[in-house]
Amino acid sequence: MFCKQPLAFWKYCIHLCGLSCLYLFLACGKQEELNVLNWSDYIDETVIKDFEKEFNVHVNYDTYTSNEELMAKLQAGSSGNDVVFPSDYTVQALWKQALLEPLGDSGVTNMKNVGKKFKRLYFDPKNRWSAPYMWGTMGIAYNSKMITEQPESWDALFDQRYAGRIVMLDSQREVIAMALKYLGYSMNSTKASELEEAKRILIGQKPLVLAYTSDNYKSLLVSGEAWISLAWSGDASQAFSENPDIRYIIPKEGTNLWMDNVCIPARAPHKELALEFINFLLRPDIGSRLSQKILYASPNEASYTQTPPDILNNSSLYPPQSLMEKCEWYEDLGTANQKWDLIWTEIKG
Amino acid sequence: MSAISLKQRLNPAWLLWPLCLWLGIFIILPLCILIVYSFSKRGTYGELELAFQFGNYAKLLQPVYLRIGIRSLYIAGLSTLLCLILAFPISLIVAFSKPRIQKILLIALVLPMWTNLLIRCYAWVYLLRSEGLLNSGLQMLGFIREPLPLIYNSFAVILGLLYNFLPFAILPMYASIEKIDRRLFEAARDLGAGNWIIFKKILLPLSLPGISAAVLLVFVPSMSLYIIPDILGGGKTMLLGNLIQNQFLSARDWGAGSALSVVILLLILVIWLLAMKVTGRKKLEELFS
Amino acid sequence: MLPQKFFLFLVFLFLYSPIVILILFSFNDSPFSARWHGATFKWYGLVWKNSSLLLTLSRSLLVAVVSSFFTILLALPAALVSARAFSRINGSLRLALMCSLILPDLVMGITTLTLFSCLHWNMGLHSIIVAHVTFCLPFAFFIITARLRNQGIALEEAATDLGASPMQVFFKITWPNLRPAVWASLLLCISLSLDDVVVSFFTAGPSSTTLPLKIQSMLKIGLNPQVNALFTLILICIVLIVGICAILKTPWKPKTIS
Repeated sequence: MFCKQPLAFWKYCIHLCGLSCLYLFLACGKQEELNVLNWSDYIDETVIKDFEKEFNVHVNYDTYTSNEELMAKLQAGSSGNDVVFPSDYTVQALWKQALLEPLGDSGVTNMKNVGKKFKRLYFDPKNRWSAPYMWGTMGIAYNSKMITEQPESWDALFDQRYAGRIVMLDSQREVIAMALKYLGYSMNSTKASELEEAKRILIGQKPLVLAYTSDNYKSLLVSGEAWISLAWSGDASQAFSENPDIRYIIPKEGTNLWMDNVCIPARAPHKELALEFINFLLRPDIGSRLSQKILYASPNEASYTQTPPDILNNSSLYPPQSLMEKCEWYEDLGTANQKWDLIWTEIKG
Repeated sequence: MSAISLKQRLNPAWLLWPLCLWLGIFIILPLCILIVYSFSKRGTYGELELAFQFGNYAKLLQPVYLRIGIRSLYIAGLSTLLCLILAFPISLIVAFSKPRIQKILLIALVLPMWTNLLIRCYAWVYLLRSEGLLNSGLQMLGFIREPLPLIYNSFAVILGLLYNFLPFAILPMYASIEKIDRRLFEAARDLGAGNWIIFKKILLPLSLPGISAAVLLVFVPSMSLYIIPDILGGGKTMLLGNLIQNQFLSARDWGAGSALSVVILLLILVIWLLAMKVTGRKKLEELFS
Repeated sequence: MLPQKFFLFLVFLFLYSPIVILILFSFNDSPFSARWHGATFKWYGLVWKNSSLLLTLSRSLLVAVVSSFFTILLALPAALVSARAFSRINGSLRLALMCSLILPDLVMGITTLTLFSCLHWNMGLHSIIVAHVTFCLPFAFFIITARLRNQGIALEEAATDLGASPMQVFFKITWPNLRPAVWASLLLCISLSLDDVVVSFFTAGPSSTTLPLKIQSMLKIGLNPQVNALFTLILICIVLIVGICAILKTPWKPKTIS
């Protein structure tokens, strides 16, 4: 009764139903799962595989590209993630909005491996919500072949001689904080006069800037397109491994200290497994492997005995105490965030 | 039997309901959420406090936002214009080719659209930067001595927008031109009309629906695309899309971001309604094929 | 003819030079893609061995195909009614579809995620599919409606006069004429779905990373030959699919009955 065309139509339908069934089948996990959401390129894949083997689970590993994206995602709704990696002030903003699960008093036994100076920081005074993962600084990365004299101060980023070869991070927090520090103010300043001054010098700097980018500055430095850049410590080490001319310094005015942490979002479906994962990451051997793979500084002091000395002695990753004293942690700006945002818009707009 | 009842018999009204239901849940509800957000207040840590206040809309009246809005309109407008100027002759050539060639040309022109935009943007970076292929090539051939500043500026942004949206402009214009009865041109020539008259009095008016659709398909997304200004513009050109992204992410001011989105939505709906009026409803939809 | 051919050549040069560069550098024997260091196939080998990459590719294809299918399923019946029978709902329907078209990706992603949370839905591949269907709907609807308006109802009337049932009328007359528009919508929806980053990020559940998201994270370290190789492979797939469609003689434009 039906001619060929309806048959063909129903064939399409059946094929697609088949595909959907396949998807449903694939979606049904047989093992327990852990859903990890981390920055891209921020873990050693073999560590995940070892965790899967040891605990007989499957780890779903997804990535994001900024703290703000993570925050927006968690603010908009629970998306089923068990472990996330927010930075310092983001941790504070998250737990103040009740978006994190407490780690529990006896939850993370390997917290003892973390160095004292990395625990009980301002954003989480009792380490109730977060465990330290990686830490670092922000500084100046430069091409030592093109810039023969080592920059000592933040003013190198405002130097007319490097016009068109300066790259800044595309992040309002980092750029404005740098300007404030250069002017001698606190990186967390909310005073209108200080912010105005910072805005003025940054608008003056804009014609010298090649680009504002948080992702591409490494490849711009490595390729020689850019000579000098605002940079994060770990990224600079990675750039150095690709191009030995790239150096990293922390200016004499001091800089910011940042800490990335492991947290469990509220309503995480696999909280116990997440705690195991955090404990796993804090093991000395794992901490050492992570540090060696992603070339960032680890707060896991128990892992230092297993970390090669050339990483521990790398002053860009582990700056000397004298410089550390000049560094500040970021704090959440609260309502002053809007003031900063307006300045950023005026600089970029 | 009357035509209306036949149409209704063949296409009963209940066929509309699945789509209406879907739109109701997945577009209208999120839009309502957006409008509610646009009146909300921002809490200390960026959380939303439900309220009814116009502060977010008032915030948009600040000079820096207006400046960004005008610049976005200018850049989106300029790239749309360039797209149209380039797409029109292309569509003409394709529409007047042999049918078999038409198919091949269309697919070849539209194929780039199916590949990943992000990767293509990075490819343009390789082409345009000072040690990139274009500059190196020109220097090698002796045309220039110093590399041209082709990237991380407005030129690169407009180039990127033009590159991305050209196929979107070609399709509706081609569809519109293709439908024009060729005998009109023959008749005009027989009556002694030159090329310019044919263009002004026949080609342009009859391809207006295609042009309007092309304007919509290019202008609307150009305003809110943020990838191209970020990658090709070096983050130095802030357009409305970047501004919205900023408000929702770094500034954590969902209220202001929502208010801005609502304003853009209303602005574009107004433009669309004007376009509908100018070209007549039916012609506007005929071109999408 | 020559100026026309030269002009077209320039246009194709403009459209394809980035693509050609990407393909060429996928054979570059250097991980930084800046200079040519000799030809190699090793990046293709790496892509092939990269099981997570292939998994996200298959996931993206699945999402693209399924969401395109459901888009057509929703848009086609509504387009039939909207284009033929006048209905008061028409205006508001088009308005709602235009809103979907205009809304920036980021806003759509965040509000859709908020909606899903309010409804207490678990996120996963299905949430991405729902979001993709939503933003593909305007394209499919407007394309199919345009085609329908172009056709006119004369043939269907004639068939009904001759005693055909509505189902027969649809399958023997309407559907064959609609097929090009439906294929065009399908291809457009698949391309939109495969390229979407922002909406996918917000509506993805765990282990629902799609290919564009994966590419974005791979591009964090800059353009590397592995991404080039992946891009070339995807391009080859697309060309093959289009070629197969062409061979199956699906006309881009229907044969008009005059």
